[in-house]
Amino acid sequence: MNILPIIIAIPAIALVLIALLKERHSKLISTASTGIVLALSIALLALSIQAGKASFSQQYSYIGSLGIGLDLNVGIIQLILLLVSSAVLFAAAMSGNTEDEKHRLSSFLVVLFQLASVGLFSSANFFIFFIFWDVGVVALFFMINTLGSANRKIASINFLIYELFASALLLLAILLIYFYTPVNSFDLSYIAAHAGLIPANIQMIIFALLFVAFMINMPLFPTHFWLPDAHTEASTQGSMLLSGVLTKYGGYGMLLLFTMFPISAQFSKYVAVLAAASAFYAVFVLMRQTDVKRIIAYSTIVEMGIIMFGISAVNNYGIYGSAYAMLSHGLAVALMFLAVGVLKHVFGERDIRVLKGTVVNARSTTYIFLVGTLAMIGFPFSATFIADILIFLGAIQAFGVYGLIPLGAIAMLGAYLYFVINKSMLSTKEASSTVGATTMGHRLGYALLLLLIFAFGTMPFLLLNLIR
Amino acid sequence: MFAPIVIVPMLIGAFASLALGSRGSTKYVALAASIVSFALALSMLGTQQQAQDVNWFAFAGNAFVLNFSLAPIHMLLLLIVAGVTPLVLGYSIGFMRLPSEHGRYYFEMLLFASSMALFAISGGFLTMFIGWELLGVTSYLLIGFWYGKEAAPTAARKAITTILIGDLAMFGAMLLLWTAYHSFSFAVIQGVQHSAAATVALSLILVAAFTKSAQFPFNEWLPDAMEGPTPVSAFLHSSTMVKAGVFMIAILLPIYAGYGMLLPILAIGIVSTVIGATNALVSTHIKRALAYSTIEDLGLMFIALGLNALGAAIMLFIMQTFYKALLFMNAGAIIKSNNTEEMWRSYESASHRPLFIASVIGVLSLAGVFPLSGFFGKQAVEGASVSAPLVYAILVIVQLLTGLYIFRWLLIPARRAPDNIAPKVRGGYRAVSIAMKIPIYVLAAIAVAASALYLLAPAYLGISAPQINVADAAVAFALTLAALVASYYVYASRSAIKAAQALRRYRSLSVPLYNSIFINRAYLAIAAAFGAIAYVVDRFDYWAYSRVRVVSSSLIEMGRATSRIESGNVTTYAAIFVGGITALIIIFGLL
Repeated sequence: MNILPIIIAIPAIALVLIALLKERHSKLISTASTGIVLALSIALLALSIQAGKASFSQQYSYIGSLGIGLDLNVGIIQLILLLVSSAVLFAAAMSGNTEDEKHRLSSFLVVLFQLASVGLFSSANFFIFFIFWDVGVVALFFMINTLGSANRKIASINFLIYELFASALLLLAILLIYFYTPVNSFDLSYIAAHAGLIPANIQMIIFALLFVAFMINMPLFPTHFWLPDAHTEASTQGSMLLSGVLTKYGGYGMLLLFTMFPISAQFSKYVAVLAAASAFYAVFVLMRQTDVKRIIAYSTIVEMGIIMFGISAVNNYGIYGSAYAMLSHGLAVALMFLAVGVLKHVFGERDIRVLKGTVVNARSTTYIFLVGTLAMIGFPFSATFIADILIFLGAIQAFGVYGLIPLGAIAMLGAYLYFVINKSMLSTKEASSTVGATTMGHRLGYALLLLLIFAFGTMPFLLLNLIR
Repeated sequence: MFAPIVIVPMLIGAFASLALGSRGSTKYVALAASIVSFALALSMLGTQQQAQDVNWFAFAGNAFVLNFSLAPIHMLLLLIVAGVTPLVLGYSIGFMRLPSEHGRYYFEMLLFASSMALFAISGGFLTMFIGWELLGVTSYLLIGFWYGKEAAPTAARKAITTILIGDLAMFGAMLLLWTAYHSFSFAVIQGVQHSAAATVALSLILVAAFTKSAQFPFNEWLPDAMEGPTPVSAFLHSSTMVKAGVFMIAILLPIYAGYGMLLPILAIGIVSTVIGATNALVSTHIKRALAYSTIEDLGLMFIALGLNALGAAIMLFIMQTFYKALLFMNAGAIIKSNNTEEMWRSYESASHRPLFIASVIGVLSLAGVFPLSGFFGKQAVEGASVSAPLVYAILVIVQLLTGLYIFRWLLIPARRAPDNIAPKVRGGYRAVSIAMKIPIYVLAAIAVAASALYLLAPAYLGISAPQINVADAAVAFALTLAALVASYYVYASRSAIKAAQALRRYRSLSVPLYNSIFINRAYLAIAAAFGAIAYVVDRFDYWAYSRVRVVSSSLIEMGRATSRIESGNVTTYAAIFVGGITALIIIFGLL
């Protein structure tokens, strides 16, 4: 039996159940839905390992005359992204919405976003890709808008303006592609095979449109202004999903763009410079932040810059390294946001000028923050280490010694995170008092994410052997 | 035998300690684990298959291999690490008295030891980098172990920040070399011809080595690291961590020689040696003085490497382990008895004869007095420098400084205590626990006996024995004797207080000696420069972001304004409808 349609069907059914059943069941349903999808994604991985390659597909025609349908296709990159998104979603669902009591709403939005994410990462049809993209954006818009903290309205509108602009560009590009491929088609594999036949100037326009659309979503400097606010104002779940999954939409889009359109190789150098500049820019801004959540938010831009840098190398190492980095970063950043959410929950405070000696009253969370920091800067045994090896090998191949420059941004990020740990966490001249306690859901979230970070850091062959 | 097995007992011990926590058995479990590891290391001495490779993963047809090596030089470091670990852990039983700290302490110590052991047996960059990173993080945790103290967390951060630079430099170098040679193995990399990228990679590796081995300009984290517990210092300065950088360069020395890149190693070695020796002479903190002395020792090793004298560097590498561990453990006993880390407020170290004799052995060994093991290390380096007169001259001056600071270190705490506190201090020395004394005596014995390694080690390692020149040795001995007399006159005679006052009057003289202050200021300046850039970038970011925010908030306002029209009132809708139609008719009519 084919697993792919089930992966899409489960969140769809869960959505209905959450809407129909009592509110006290909703957290359970969302946890079950995300958990089953994670289990199925791991099953996909196991099946791929058995078969020696990752290749699953399934097609359901919808509007046949236009070539629109629910065409699903999962290769190695899609499998990696399915794994990270379902893991982050499961962790987010398990840890629950600690900020307030709107369980039905939060569970509904989590599952809606899950539907969008699994659909997006497994779709083989650009049109459906676009639909899932928008559903995901809308789900997170409501998540920020209704479940966030004080300034959530403005943050969510910021987010929406940027994301809808990106969507519009994306739609335009998709239509251009549709009309300029020899046989009008939305099929990704067909487009990949025939992108070279599109006239060069049209290709250029398509590249520009798609690049800007994905760049807004990733985000890169200078289109990142929606991100810090959205991440900071969203609920813990919201930030985990935004940074762990939504930014990967753009990253995945970039991967598609750079692997599908041969013209993108021409821009490789400029994109690399932009990506590196974005990473350094973000790390400098990050060094002036005092809200831990904002710090982690900016670190997302740094890491996405590194990922973009890897993609821009346009070789095997860079492309697959970036895909692996999306896995590792998704897990690590979700872990960090979860830890920050728990800090806020336990101490009622996120400002490093106020927060003191958290190790006294929140030992596990403090050490998780330290481990998360290590996982972000590419410590051995974390998935990021493998990703960084591949990305920078790719970058050296493409740009020579200059390919190592973004390591400087990672060093600065690490240095500032150690500063944060030193200032607020592992120094206990005085300790903040508590207003809440760590829950079992939080601990389960930590355990899951840590386990996966470690597993993919020590057993990279599980995924890398599947690459042909 | 498969090399990484040596780490397994220590890892098990580490996690067992964490699980046992504050129970009384934790310390013995940890000690037992380290002894088992040492036994395993000994049993590997005769291993036939020295190079052992494990395929980790493959990508695009290239295998990423974890190389392990039990070649003599790796074996040597492994034995040193595995041998010192039980001594340090035994000493810890006496030193770390709070059971609540035990679980975390022994966990981190054993992890630290296992990462160094992993580093020692690594036969390629990938394996070495893993050990290297683990060393960095565990040392961070250990330096900041007492995070309730004022300075400990800051010292730990200083260490990890400095080391982070080296980590990423090494990461970059490792990938550059891989791109050039498609292998991480030292053996492969040494066997191939020149490539352009390799020069950059080798420079990056030097940076990494200097950060880890606390060489100029990355030296200042090491004295600050004294905020950690004393057993940690004894461990960190003798066999682990700071030796990593020297070891890495020693392994790669033929490549550096081949690329003609020895001069920077020599230069940095000389600068660090001088910085170490001068600051050790003026530091009044009983452990910091030794820390600067470690910088000096490591500098001497780099000088030997810079002169392409591998044998001399290795000799000092071995000998330094024993006397430095011994001296730190002695420092711990003095600190415990006086309850202060300030040299001038420590007294009566001579009142406990066996401990004092152990100290003297350590001190004489460090000063390089025949026939203690230190003599062979120090003289080997001097012997290597004979061909370079300038280096030799500097080494002679350093020799004198070394004698001065180390006798000062010995004699100041040996003064008679004022009558009101003397009984208490003497009682303190008597109360030093047996668990602390045994490792001290063992190390003192080794510091004497290790002289034999001068004859044994070169044969085992297959390198030529470093030459020791009798005339040099005589000069060195005379200088050391002069230093002893001078120190005795200044610090131990009855006029010690007066002498100290006299020295204080000539404070300006000591400015060139206190040079580490300038390095710290340079660090602050660099941090401030980064801060300034960050300030500007952040201002810009905020400015641009505010503009975006204006757009969104005006959109929200617009929504609010138009929502008043959408009131649900049918009459209003009808009125607007009629009005609109009328307006349209008029407009079209006018057109």
